[in-house]
Amino acid sequence: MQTQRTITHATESSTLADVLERILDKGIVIAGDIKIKLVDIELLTIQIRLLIASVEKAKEMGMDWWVTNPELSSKKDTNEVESLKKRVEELEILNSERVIKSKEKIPLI
Amino acid sequence: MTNVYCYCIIENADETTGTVGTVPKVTGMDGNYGLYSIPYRNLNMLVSRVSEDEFSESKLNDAIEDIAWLGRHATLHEKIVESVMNVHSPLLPMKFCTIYSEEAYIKKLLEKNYSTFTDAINYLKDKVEYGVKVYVECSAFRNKMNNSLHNQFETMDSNDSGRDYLLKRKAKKLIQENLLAEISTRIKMIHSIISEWSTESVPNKMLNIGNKTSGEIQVQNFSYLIENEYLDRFLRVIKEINNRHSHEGLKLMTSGPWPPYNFSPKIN
Repeated sequence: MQTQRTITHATESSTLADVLERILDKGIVIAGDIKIKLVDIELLTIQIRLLIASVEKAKEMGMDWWVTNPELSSKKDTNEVESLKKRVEELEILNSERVIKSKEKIPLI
Repeated sequence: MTNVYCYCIIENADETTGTVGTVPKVTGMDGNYGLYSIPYRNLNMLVSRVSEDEFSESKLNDAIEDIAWLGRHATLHEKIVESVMNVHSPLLPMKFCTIYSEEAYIKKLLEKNYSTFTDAINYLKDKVEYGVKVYVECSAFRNKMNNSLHNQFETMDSNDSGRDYLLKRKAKKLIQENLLAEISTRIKMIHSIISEWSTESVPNKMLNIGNKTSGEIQVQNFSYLIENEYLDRFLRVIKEINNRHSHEGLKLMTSGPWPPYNFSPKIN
């Protein structure tokens, strides 16, 4: 038998988040047709409401860029997408510089 | 009329009598009925009766729309499973509101998935689930990373020409990319260090409840399955990482031990 440990959390609110993300999504899920069917509580409404709060905060801090960034969503390795995005941005910047250079040259012609 | 609410699956704990052993004397989800076991061979589903007045299909699907009801009952479900976990480990936790109308269905479920359940229980022996979240305190991290770059930038005139504007935009972009890369590098490094002490890990959804006013943003959320003998080491490593990175606004928060929600088998 295992020694008894108590669950400790930093805040009450993070406890609920931790509980919800586990018991609504994980654990043993029975897909059969004999049990009482519960609508999928996709956490969506909860999540959207809470995400909005964080996005606002992030914008306030001038750091809204990360919210939509797949690199930080911890789902899968998005290195390739990320490096491609970077390359596109570099090219865009290079291109805009070239446009300016060509504009600067116009009066000389 | 009542239905049967399922909490978790455990093995018989009393080898000599071949029975479930101690079932915690707690009341179930509706507060009126206690926990009991539905056995099949050496497996047991721990259940309680729940009133149809609250736990019928139509009532439940209305109730879960109510965040307060959901929060209250989610916590209760978790507390009941934890009270079992304190005396029976390992266990396989059931998803919230797994409810049957008849006990016979539950026996059939155990029978049909017997080897899946026993394999999972064997695998989870002497292991615990912990959650680790990584937070970034945005302004602290930004200050730490870009002090010199940022200052240089502020000295630029605001009435810039088109070229200066583009340069400025480029610099801003670079700073952001740099920040993103730095955070990304750190969370990957943190994950790889703590993974060394775990058997398995699973990414969780990032639900930002709380911390709304502190400017902290959650950037990583994983569950780890850890062998008991490595647990102290696992927690110590996290403490060391926290000490090393707190000055730049990075913070790891652990929770656990959890019932192994993230490491329970999938049933088809």
